[in-house]
Amino acid sequence: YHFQNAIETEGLESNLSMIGNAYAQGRCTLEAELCADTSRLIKLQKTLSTKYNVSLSGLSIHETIHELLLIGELKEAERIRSDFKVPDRRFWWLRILTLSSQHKWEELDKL
Amino acid sequence: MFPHLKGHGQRVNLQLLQEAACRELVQQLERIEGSKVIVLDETMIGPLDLVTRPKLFADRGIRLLALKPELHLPREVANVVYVMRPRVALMEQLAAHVKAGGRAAAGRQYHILFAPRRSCLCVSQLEVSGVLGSFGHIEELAWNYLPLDVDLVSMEMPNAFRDVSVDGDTSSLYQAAVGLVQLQRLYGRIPKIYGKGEFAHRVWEHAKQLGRDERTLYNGDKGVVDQLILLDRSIDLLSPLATQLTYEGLIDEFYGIRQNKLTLPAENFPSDGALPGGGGSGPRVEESQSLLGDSEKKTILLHSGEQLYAELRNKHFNEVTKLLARKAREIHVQMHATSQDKSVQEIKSFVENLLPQLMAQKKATSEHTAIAGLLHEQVNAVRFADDLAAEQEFMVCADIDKPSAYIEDLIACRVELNRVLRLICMQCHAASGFKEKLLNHYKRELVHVYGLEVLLTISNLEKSGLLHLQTESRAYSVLRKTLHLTVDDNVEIEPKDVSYVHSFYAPLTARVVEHSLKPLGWQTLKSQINNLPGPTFEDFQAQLVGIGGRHTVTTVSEGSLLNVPRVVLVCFVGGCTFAEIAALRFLAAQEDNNVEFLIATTKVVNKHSFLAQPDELVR
Repeated sequence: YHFQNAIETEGLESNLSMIGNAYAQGRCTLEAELCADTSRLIKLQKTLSTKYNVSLSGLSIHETIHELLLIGELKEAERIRSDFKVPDRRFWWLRILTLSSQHKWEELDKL
Repeated sequence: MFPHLKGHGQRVNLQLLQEAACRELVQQLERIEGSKVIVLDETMIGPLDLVTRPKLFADRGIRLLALKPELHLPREVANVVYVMRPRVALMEQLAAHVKAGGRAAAGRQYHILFAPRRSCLCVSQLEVSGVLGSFGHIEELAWNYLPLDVDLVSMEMPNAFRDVSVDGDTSSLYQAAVGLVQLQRLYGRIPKIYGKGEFAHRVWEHAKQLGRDERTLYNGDKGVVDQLILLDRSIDLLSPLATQLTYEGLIDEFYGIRQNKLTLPAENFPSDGALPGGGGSGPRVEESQSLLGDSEKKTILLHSGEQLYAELRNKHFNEVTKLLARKAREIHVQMHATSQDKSVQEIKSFVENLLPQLMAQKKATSEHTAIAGLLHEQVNAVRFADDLAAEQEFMVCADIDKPSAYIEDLIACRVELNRVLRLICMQCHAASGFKEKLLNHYKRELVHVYGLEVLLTISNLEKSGLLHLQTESRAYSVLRKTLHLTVDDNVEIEPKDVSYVHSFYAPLTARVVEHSLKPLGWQTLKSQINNLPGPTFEDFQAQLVGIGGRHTVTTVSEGSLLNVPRVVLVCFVGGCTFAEIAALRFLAAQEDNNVEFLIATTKVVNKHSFLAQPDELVR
């Protein structure tokens, strides 16, 4: 349980499955699941980065959605939301924050 | 040498401690012949200031330098003395210095004074670097407890709690024990010892062991200190996380008080030249400033040597503003009293005697008004009020088994991680642990927003016991009732109960001490605090080892017959907050307790610095 920390600081993509396994062995199902999620996210980020020409690497799920909303890709953002089971509450927070930061008050009104 | 350490009628004179520490340094220095320069590790600058004055070094022609990777040592000195904490990382710098200096000045000697203990790791690191031969003396400065104020000593080890609970490095416990023995050597045997918590117990075991080697400790008469209460930080993790609402506590939380010194941007203060009677602390402050390389900041010394601060520090913040206003008015009246008709004689005596005093008072008042103004801005900010409201809800156990909507919102807005974690930890502690589902919910949220690295911090928090799953006994909610940790009718101004330090919550530690003061207090308390982690223990140190009880009984009656206040040494293993200190001072001020406290801690912590410890491993 303790020594995974050392590996994890490396933060490398390839290590993720190893860390996930270690967590699973240490009976930390949630942590293992989160590791798997992250590696999925990294793959997704790669395809999205090339598709929309934005830099997404190293961002968390939340930040990725934020980034996508900023460039107006609501569809993609919705997909990530359902993929990673982001709670509604937080998703709406994000939408409101991004819209208000871009001063799109009419759209905010529509929500 | 340090007037502020000499309290009025305090029975424990901490000047002794300061002088002992200072003498030790001087002795070590005198053993080294020839001209010297002292190089200080950054974390030692503050502690050094606590026990010495720059004059001490100036008199001996010693220059002080701060340790930097690139250090330009004056060519002509024959000896370089490093005063530092035993940290392996620093050794490489030393090695680099020696190597760089080797060409410039042959025949120069290097020395190290490790405070408080030398470490084999450091020495062998020097050996590996191949410079061990250049070092003459490698000695120890046994500075364990350093005096901060009349009733407060600190080890100045900010990471003690983390070292022990996360890394399992127990050297700070040993250090605390050595410190206790040292205190007993200075102030005499402590006959009664009470304690709670696993690490506190370990400290005491160490101290007993060490004391056994020193028979003289037991043969002497009972010392000034009547009782020792050892408290482990891990029995009460809520108090260090809670927002402190005393003046001193708030200053510490927003700006940080380091070794009695507060540093603020100078622009906030009216620039008034050196006034007479301002404590005479001018040159001292400058010295340490130049060492820290900070000239645009204003440094203010905060300790009970200053009358006004002594009065204000432990008050609830709402009371402070009122007091300051009254003080300002008083001074105004006194200043203008002169403009009325008076004889020349009267004016003369006024100018000579009263005026400098008044000026000093005025300066102090204006300083504290400025500080209070700064605090006021911060306290009135929305986030402060919201955070406070949230934590107070946890304290009264409202909805603690559900995910808090406020915390979720904070996570969604991506506020600083520590702010969120603090509230989560508080909720966890108030609920005596989370249900697994809730803990996982928070973990998932945190990872989603802050990235996977958060898991490292979380695992540290779990190791240190700040986050944990629910246990069977709901320690907090039970103790909240039995020990009245939260009080319904709270009074912030002219309070009658220690709970004022957090508006209505009394720190558990302060309550434990309060109850133990009562006759047979510890016996009744024992059953009440049983559901807290760690063993409850008590011990007696009789005059001769083995005889036990009888002697202690006589000493107790001696004390109560003479009606002198008892002196109780309260030792926090793992740090304590200014609010807790304020609470203890408040207890001491109550007539019927008839008690005097001496507080020992590993470090004075606050909600930010306490939580920064588990986090540090990540950075």
